[in-house]
Amino acid sequence: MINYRTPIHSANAMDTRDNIILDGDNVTLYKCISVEDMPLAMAYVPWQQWKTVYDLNKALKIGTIFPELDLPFCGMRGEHA
Amino acid sequence: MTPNERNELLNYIYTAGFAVDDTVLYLDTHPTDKVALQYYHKYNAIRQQAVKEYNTYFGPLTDESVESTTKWTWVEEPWPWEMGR
Amino acid sequence: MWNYEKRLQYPVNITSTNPAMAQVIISQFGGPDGEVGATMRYLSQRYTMPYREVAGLLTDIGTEELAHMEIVSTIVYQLTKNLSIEEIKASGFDKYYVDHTTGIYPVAASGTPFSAAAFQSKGDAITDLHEDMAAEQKARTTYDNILRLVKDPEIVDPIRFLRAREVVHYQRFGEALRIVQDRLDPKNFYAYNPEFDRVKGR
Repeated sequence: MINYRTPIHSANAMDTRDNIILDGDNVTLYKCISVEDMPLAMAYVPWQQWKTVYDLNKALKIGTIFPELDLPFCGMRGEHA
Repeated sequence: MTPNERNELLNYIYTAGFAVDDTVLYLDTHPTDKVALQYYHKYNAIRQQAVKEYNTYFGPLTDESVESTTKWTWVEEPWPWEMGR
Repeated sequence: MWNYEKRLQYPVNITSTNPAMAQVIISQFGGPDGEVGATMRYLSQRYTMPYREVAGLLTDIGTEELAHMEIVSTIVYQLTKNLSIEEIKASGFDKYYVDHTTGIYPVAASGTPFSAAAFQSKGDAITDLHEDMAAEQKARTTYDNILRLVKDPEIVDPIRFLRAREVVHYQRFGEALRIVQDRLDPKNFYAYNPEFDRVKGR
């Protein structure tokens, strides 16, 4: 469970694209702020970052190249495929 | 070209094509992501090459890629909803 | 404008006839949360979207939904090929058959024809993106429901693919909403509609 009281720069804090930084290795960094500091009455989906991707054949079968977005239907509580 | 090579080409078109599709959506919301852009260029090139070869050896995938000057091959190959595509 | 590539985005090869299942799956073609609605929703919303990345996303996802419409129609087409009259009578498919034979027509599983009332293009960036996020969740739930009803691997395969796309689209629309937020004043996101209101004094 995400702990909304985590301090700034924690991996669990919500992120913002303010101050997108491209460092020498062409990696995009994101500044993190706490969910508590985000304005009320709005919805926030976290920014996806490019990590490793599935190989071509697996990606087509699954329906996405991104393992983080591979969230299959199991039809049963407590089960994760 | 053999049927095996046809299947291999089709496999590249499906898989590289899909990788490009998913990457295009990611790039729409991450337009400065260099790693994503590199990935896009790599697999788009593979996809385009596979499509080019398929058009030449097996039949047009788009109505702009008909090569025959004697018949309108666009309507010859099965349509995608028929079995086998 | 649109070009057409003579292939499906994901292959469909269904060797069995199953009109009862076709009647359920057709809801993802012409039903309230199906692909026709998704296409029309996103392609309609894009014109007045003032942020290029979001207009691009609406165009690209709207185009992908056309390809999904094609996959769902193909599934229904293959499930209803070579139907016998006995199969039609036994499956409850007779109600669709009498009006459409085995032609593909956009209806819900209930038989209600597709209606634009199933989607909105509200002309407000924040509102439309919330509509789009909800639409993707509704589509996902519909695919979940289909997956509980069908076990044939030839049908499950493309259905699972289509469902996975909804999850990805939800993430993208969520990111598009973050982009809109970044362009507005966080002290009050609702002070004005970026698609319509002008600068004060003009």
